[in-house]
Amino acid sequence: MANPAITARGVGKTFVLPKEKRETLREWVASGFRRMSYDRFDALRDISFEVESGSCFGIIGRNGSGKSTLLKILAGIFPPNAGSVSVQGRISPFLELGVGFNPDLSARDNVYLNAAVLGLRTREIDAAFDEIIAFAELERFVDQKLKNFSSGMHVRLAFSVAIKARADVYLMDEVLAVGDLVFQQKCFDVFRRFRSEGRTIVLVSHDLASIRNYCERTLYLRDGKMVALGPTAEVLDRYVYEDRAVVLPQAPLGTDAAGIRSPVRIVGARVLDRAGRPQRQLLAGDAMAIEVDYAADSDAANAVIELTLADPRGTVLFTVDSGAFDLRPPALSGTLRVSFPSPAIGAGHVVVSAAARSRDSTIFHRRDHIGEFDVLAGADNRGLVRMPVSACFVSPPDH
Amino acid sequence: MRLLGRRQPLVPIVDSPRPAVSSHPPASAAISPATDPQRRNAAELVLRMALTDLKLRYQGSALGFAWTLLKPLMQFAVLYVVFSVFMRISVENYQLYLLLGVLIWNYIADGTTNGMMALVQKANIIKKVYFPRIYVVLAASLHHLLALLLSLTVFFVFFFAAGKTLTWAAPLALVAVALLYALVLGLSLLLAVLHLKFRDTSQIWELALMAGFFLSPVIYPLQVIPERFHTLLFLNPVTGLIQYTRLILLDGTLPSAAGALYVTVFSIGLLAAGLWLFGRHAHLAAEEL
Repeated sequence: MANPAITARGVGKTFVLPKEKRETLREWVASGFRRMSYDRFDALRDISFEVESGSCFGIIGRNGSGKSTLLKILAGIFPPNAGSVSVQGRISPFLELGVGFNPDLSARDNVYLNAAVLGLRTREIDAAFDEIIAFAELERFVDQKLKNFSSGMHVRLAFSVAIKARADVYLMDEVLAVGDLVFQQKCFDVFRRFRSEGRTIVLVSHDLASIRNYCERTLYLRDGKMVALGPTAEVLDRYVYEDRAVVLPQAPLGTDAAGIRSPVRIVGARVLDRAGRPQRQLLAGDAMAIEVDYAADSDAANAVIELTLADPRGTVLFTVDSGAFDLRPPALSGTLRVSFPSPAIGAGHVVVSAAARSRDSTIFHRRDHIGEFDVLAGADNRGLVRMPVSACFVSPPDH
Repeated sequence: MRLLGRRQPLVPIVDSPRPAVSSHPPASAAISPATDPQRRNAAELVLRMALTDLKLRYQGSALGFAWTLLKPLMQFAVLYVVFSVFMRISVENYQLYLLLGVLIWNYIADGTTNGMMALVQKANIIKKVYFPRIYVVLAASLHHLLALLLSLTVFFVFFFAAGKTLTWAAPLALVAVALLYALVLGLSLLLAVLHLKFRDTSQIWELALMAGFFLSPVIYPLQVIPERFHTLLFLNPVTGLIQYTRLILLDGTLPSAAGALYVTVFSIGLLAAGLWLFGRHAHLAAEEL
């Protein structure tokens, strides 16, 4: 990379966890002044990457993967145990918005304190003060104590101060998770401006959409180690799809498992209307039920009966199984009844499929298109789904 | 490590080699915590933290800031009634003598207690922002120094009201205050590091302060102690600091050269030791909090 803003080489961080916690003198004396024994915990191991100046760099990973530790090392809050970090230009020393905000101080005092913590000099704060308050839209509340502020006002104030911290490299930890949509948009507008000004942003987030939208390159951490580093789209694919620990075994559609006579079989299914009569047409929103009959060779007690509703093209609308209710089917044969007191299907043709499988998801028997029914739209709404709504007219404000 | 929770503080490895870091101010600060080339507003930040602490100290109370002055005065009134009226201690200028002792002792007690707790009290900032960690201890000792200077104005009101005047020795009181600050800051730095490692440092220090209150001539005049114990008493630098300030301001005389030298060396030495120990351990504060 021609002009890296951040260069991390072989960064490692080990925490040592005392096996017996000995935080007080008494514990230390009681243990006879012995050296404490430790468990070592490698929070980060051999992390190397470069962040190009003026780019946005994402860091993703599940909880405990070391993201925040890495950010703290970049910010200088933790010293690394191994490796080196070098930063070109001034790095924002903070990870969170509103650090040091005190509820008992006025907005004015908090701005001065917070900005000073972020490295601004008093005359710089004086110069930027009105702008900060205006951006936060808090002109009327400058001398109110912070504890009387809503969380939204709090965040707006904090963000307005933060963007005045004159840094070349900004570190942001989950910062985008706060605030309403309008405010988040405002944040991203500022980020874009920072980018056009050649500032560098490092973003740690669980919100993959933000990472996808704003970061060119992304680092994926797992258990403190680098899993992937590269263009965001590739890294995100890897994060989302590769690491599914549990992959459900699935029989191919419309076939019986392995062609062997299944120990538990789906025999039939019925759609019942609100009066409990078999029906092919139902009115949207009316209570309904679906019954699935099964038969077993020996004992069905460990089987799970699964019901799937799909549209004619095969898109699954809904699926449910007896395991979710922790039900045990009666032995040899029986019927699972699934009741829908208020179905959400608004209109359309629905295909019913059912399957019998074991508790560990081995499919015994599967019958696609074992039944079907039509939902007729009600008078109050049309469309695929029904949802609880309310509506009213709002008069334009008086002038 | 978040999963491990607060009650399981993580102790960093200390025997691992220092990282080779180039042009990274925070890590270089791990070696010298008092400096940060990127931090241009060090003095302003420390002063702002100190003033904020002063402002927040009596936050929410009806009299607010006035407590900074009222508290030592009330303390003075109680002690004066007990020792002057009931126990009939008769020393010249006992009121002023006592008030000065109380103010200086309060500064030592409050300053060191607050300095010791500064890292813990500011943990929310320390864990989220990098700045040289010594700032919070500096701010704590400074905040109480400001309180001392404010309450000294009350002392001088009484002083002049009693018809006393300052002598040519009075400016030396500033030297005494400077040494007092060095002593308090040095103790604060040492205690802050100890408190990081052992949380019961605060309990021990509370007891030590109680003992110190009686081992220093705060309330009693030095004359009531037999002469042969005086050397022992003056080994405690607080005795010297209080007594010499009284000499300078109330009697207009100078302390002995040996005594002054002892107090100076002790205070400066303690400050140096505090800076050294703090410098070695403070960069790990964020992990131990």
